[in-house]
This record gives sequence, C-alpha cells and structure tokens, in this order.
Amino acid sequence: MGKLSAELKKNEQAVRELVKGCDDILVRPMRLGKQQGIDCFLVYIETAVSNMMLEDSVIGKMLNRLWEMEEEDVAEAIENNSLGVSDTKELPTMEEAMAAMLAGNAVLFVDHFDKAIKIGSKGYPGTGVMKADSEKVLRGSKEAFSESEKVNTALIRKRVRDTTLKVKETPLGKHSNTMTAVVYMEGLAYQPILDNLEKKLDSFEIDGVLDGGVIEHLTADLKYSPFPQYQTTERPDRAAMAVLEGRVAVICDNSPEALLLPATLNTLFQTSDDYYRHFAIVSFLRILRYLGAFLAVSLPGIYVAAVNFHPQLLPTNLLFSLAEARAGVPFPALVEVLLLELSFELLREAGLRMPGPVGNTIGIVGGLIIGQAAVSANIVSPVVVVVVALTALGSFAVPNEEVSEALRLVKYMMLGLCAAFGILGLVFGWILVLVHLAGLKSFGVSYLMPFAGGSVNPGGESRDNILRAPLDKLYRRPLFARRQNRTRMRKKGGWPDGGR
Amino acid sequence: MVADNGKISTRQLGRMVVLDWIGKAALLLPGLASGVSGRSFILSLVLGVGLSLAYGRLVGYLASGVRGDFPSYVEERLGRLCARLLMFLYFGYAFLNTVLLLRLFEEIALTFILPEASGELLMGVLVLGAVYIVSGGLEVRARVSEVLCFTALAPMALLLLGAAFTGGSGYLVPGQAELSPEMAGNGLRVFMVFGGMGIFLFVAPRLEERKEMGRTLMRAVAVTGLAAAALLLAAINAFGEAGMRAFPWPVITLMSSAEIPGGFLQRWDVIFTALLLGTFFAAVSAGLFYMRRLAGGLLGKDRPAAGPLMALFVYAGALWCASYETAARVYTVLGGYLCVPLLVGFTLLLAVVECAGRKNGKAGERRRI
Repeated sequence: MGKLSAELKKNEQAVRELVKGCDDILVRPMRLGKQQGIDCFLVYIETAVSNMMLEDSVIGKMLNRLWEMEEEDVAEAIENNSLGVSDTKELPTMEEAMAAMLAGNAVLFVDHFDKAIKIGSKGYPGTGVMKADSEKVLRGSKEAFSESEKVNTALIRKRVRDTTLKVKETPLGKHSNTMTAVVYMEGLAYQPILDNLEKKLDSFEIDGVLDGGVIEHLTADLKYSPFPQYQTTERPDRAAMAVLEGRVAVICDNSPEALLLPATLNTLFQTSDDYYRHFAIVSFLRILRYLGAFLAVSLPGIYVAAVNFHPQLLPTNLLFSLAEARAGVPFPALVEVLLLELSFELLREAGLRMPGPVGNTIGIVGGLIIGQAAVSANIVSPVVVVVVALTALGSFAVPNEEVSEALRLVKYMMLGLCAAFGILGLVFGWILVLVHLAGLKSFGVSYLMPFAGGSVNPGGESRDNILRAPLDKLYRRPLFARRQNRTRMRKKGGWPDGGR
Repeated sequence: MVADNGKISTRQLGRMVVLDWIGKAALLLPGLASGVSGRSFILSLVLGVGLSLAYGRLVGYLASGVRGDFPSYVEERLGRLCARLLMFLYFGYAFLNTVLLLRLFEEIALTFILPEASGELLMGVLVLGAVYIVSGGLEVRARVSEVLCFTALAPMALLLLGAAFTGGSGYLVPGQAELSPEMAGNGLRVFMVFGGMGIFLFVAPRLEERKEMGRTLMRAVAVTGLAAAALLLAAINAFGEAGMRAFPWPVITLMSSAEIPGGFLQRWDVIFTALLLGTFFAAVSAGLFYMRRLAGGLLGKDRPAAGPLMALFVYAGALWCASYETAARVYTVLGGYLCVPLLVGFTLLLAVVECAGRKNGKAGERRRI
C-alpha cells in the first residue's frame, strides 16, 4: 500500500488484491465524460452505498454530471470539486481510501489522477434515532442515541449549536476501526482530563471495539470496582447537559450510548428531567432514589439481623406475626432470603433475555405465582416476599443501571455480614462500601464529590446533590468545569439576592 | 484535579477529629460522672473542655508555623533527640488509645448488640475495617470521615433528642454545685480525652488552610464537649444521679428506654449503639494511621506493609489486656498520667520556642528595614 498511482490499472489491481474474498465489497469499473473516454472505477460496500443511478443520491448526481461533461473538464471538476458536492474528500493513499470505503463511503478512482475521491453516502444500515428506552422521563426530549457515531454527535450538536463544542474522532480497534468521538466544550473541559482520556484511549490495542462498554472497562481507573467510573446515557440531552457542565462525552460507533466522564455518585443519581421539573418534586424524588438504593442494599440484611439477633427491635405485634409467619418455614432466615433473592435474580435475568412480551409475562408469572406458591409451600414466609419485593423496587428506583447492578452485588455482601454480626455487620458493610467509594476516582475527581470535599466548589454541586436548589440558584457549574469558567448563568440586570 | 491535590480541607479535618473523639467521649465521660454529683460533673466538663480549647488554640498556633513535616520542624527547634522522643511518645499514646478503643468496642458490642459473639472476632473485624480505611491514605480517611460524621452523628443526634424528651423522669432540677478538688481532678480526666490532639500536627502540612487548624480543633472540642454534655444531661434527667451510678453505660441504657415519637421500632439502643460503634472504625483507623507514620519516622522508612503490621501490634496489645478494665487502667496510667502531660509539656515548650523565633524574626526584619 502507500501513495496512489496516477495509473488506474495499478490502483485497480491493488484494490482488487485487497478486497479479494470480500463479496460484499463491489469494484465497479465505468467510464466518464460525454464520449465515455475516461476510465474510472468505484469501490464500495454493497449495502452501505445508495443506488448510484438514483437522482437523489449524492453519488448518482455526481456521476450523472460527470457523464455529461466533456472529457477535458472531468479532471478539473474532480480536482476542484466544481460540482459542489458537499461530502467529498481527496485521499492520497490507499490506506485512507480503504478506510473511507470501510467507513461506508464510496471511493472513486479516476485514470490519470493520483488521488481517490471519497463520496459520502448513506453509510451502514443502522437503527436510526429511537425513543429513549432505559432512561424514560416525564418531561423533555424523547430522543435517544442511535448506533451511528455521526448521528450521535449530530444529536449533541443539535442541542449545543456552538463551535466551541469540539468533536475529536479517533478510530479504535485494530480490525474493527471503530470510530470513536470525544465531545467536549473548549474552555470548559479540563485539559488534564482530555489528555488523560487521550492517553488511556491510546494505551491499548485490541482487535475490535464493538461497544462503548469495551472502552469503559479498558480505561477505568480501578478495574476491580463494580461501581461504574463512567456515566452511560442513551439521551442526547443528558450528554449535552454534561458537556455544558465541562464534562466530556465519548461516543463509540455502533453503540447507542454515550460515556460521560468524570462520573460521581451524585451524577449517577440524577436524571435529565431533574432540571425540567420543579425543584421540590425533584428533591423529593432524589431522596426516594437514595432511600431506594439504601433499601436495595440493606433490607434483606436488616431482616436477617432483626430475626436472628435483634428481635427486641421490632414492635411486639409485628414480632408475633413474624414468628407466626415463619412457624412452618424449615429454613433459617438467611437461607430463606437467599432462596427468594436468587429466584428473583433468575427471573430478572430470564425476563431480560426473553423477547419483549414473553419477558413481561415471566416477570408477572414469577412474581405472583412463584412467590405465592413458595409461601403456600412453606418454603419462605410472606414477610420475606415483601422484603425481596421492596429490595427490588429500591434497586429499580436507582436511575443508573450500572449502579443498580453494583448495589445488587453489595447486597449479598451485606447479607453475609448481617448474618454474621447482626446490625453491626450492616454498619461494618456500609463502612466498607464508603471506604471503597471514597477511594474511587473518575479521571481525578473523587467519586463522593460533593458529599466529601464539596467545600472546594461552593455554590456548585452543593446545591445540586440529594436536594436540588431552584434552577436560578444553580448558576455555578460543578467542579468538572475549569475553575475560572464556572459561571453558567447570569441574570440580566443582576440577581435580586446579589447572586449568592 | 481537585481530588489529586493530596490535601484535606479544614472541614474534613474537623470531622475526622470529632469522629476520633465522639465514641470515647460519649461512652467514657458519663462514666466519670458516676462518682460525683451531676452538677459537679458538668462543671468538671466545662473545666476539661475549657482546658482542651486552650490546648487546641496552642496546637493551632504551632500548626501555623510548621513548615515541611512536623518531625523536621521539631528537630529544627529542639534537636533530633527531642524529635524522636516526641514521636515515640505520640506513638505510645496512639497505641494505648487504639488498644482502649478496641477493648471498648468489644465491651459495648458484647454487652448490647451481640452477647454471644466472640470478642476477639469483633475486635478483628474492627481492626480489619480500620486497616482498609488506612490503606487509602489520608485523603480517603478524610472523605470517609466527612460522610460518616453526618450519616452516623445526625441520626444519633435525632435519637438523643427523642430520648431526652420522652425518657425524662424529672430528675434534672435547678440546684447548686460546690467547687472541690475532686471536680478539678475530673476536669483533668475530661482533658485526657482530648489531650492527644497535638498528634494532628503531623497532618498540618497536608491541610489546605493550615492557619485554620487551631480554630478547627477548638470547634471539634466544643462539638464533642457539647455532645457529651447533652448525653449526660439526658441520662441524668432519665435516671437521676443514683441511677447513673447503677448503670455502667448510662447513655446506651437511656436509648433502650427511649420512645421516639412516631417511631416504628420498639427499641432504639441497638441502632444507636451500632451507629456509635461505627464511629470507632474511623477512630481506630486514625490511631493506625498515626502509628504507621510515626513508626515510619522513627525507623526512617515507611512501607505499605506497616499498616497491617501496626494493626497486628494493636490487636496483640488488646489481646494482652484481656479485658476492657485492664485496657482502661493501662490507658489511664500510661496514656493519661504519663503520655498526655509529657506531650502537653512538649507542645508548650515548642510554642515558647516558636514564639521566641517569631519575635526574633520580626526584630530582624525591622532591623533590615
């Protein structure tokens, strides 16, 4: 490979050699000019390029014009793009030509011209812009990312129409050549974070990057932590909001999600419509989410601790009814909870992998029938069903799926500790989790910000954590943004409270 | 980046200090009141806290002058031998304090939460948790303390408030207290709880605003003192002075009879005790952290394995003590009557030298002008 030759035959031979055995890649020789006196050929992936004869496709229009031109004008028209085709690029080397073709474009080679021409086309088939599925909101845009990196960056650009929004593209994966875009606001994002990200993306060579998750796990600071060190989102408005806070979005081709960094526990408990709704409602919902997370981790453990070690905690009436309910159950409380928890995990996994309607049915069948049958058969007590159901509800209230999954794992550790040390085990477990989270950093930012260290950015995250202040009080960006550029809102004519 | 600057904020230091003291103060200070009248003890508390505030001011004064690390500063002012002696004393104090905390944790956990568990195992769990905290370094410890201080102390304060208003038996009535030598002795015993605060000078160089250290320590003393006073008053109100003598741990007993309005649970003592014992993880980790640093300074090398080694050393010390009573006696004699006075003396001496140095510096500056 190397520089392209001005002799078409040599180029064609090289191209045919490269695409030998690739039946999906077509090499179409043709002739241009009125007299059809100029040889050329087009190389493209069959399904990725529009029908070139169609009038409304770029390639079709371009070729039709070139066919109508005098031979002596063709070279000039191609060289200077005098046809005014928007998405064309001259490619001087065979590597670039092949990369452009593999990216889903058509590449035109013309005789006596030592460069190939990339002609933009519809690209690979994809799902298109979809409705948000896993991050549903009551207010705000319903758009979700598609599986094309170009479309996804455009969806962010649609929301941030400013040239300080920068998009840096890099192909990743030795064989997959997956286009990955780093999206950030110039002047807002910290340069060390961008440098660190670039270094990390450059630090591995892998056969293929088939999803953003591969990048996430290869570049995480603490690889053994179950807690996500990136925030994933399928919502372009969430990504745009993050970018406007000085964070960085990484968009990977073929992935319908963007990775946002740095991520903190606080950001992982926020949703995009938190900023579209009344602050009191949002604050209440956030308290519910944190409470949900606490229940998701602690409730089974608390039940086991209360039954095994501290029955004196419970009101007498409840204690009697609990004892009555457990009377016929042959298992100890720990086994009882574990049985039902694991059954629920099975149901969740089965429901997820089954096709849509069947998955829902499995959930209902599992939840209602198996639970009821287990109680009737004295395998578990009714209280445990309530405990497991509340635990599951708590985990569903956590808006980030990765956090929810991490909490599911922590729940089992907590269960074990509570079975061994009662309520003290719960405290010990939470301290372990707290220490782990305190040691986590996402691109240099403490995971517990602003719950720990929040005093470094007064007026920033401290007004937007478990409780959210009214929107006009959130005039400071979080500490992700550069220190000298943290004011995001100014009221014309000044604030009534002097901007405190 | 913010998390990578290697510094801790004054807020974090304040919370670390409160967590270091609160468990010990909440459990041990009301115990001191059992031998005297409640009113006398409140005066002793005021005396002890007043002395501690003054000591905090002194430590803050020194912190503002520390350049580089504290041992080098001491060496520069008082010579190498004194610096090593000071480090040895602090090491001894931290060791005794941590052993006491381990045994106190075991005693409380066995009495109120897990009567059938193994005390050695409970102490092992505490040490393991503390080692995990220490392994993250000062910043992680600071973050843990910042979060834990709120999540553990806020519910405890609410529980105390509920207990104070529902468990009252009318014992707390206005009266008079007489000044006595015994009261002064108790005041000094209260001071013993805070007497090791000079150890925080070792983290002074890592503090973002070093000049604020004194104020932060004083605030922490005030918060801990007030919390202890509130617990004491609530306990006296519930049990009376005679009752205080009958219960070895009146604060926790108070929680067992508390009725929280609207509360779902029958009893709250287990929750309160578990939260209180949660603060011991932070306190023990502080002990191990300083022991590791001091051992590193004394031996001239700081190795990662030093943390677990210190933990083993402390655990062995706690096992050797065999009971909480022995640990408390050893701490009182060696820590309270020996280490604390010597450490306070050293701090005073350093303050005098620092003051003289500053005066000379100013005079020199004036002469140059």
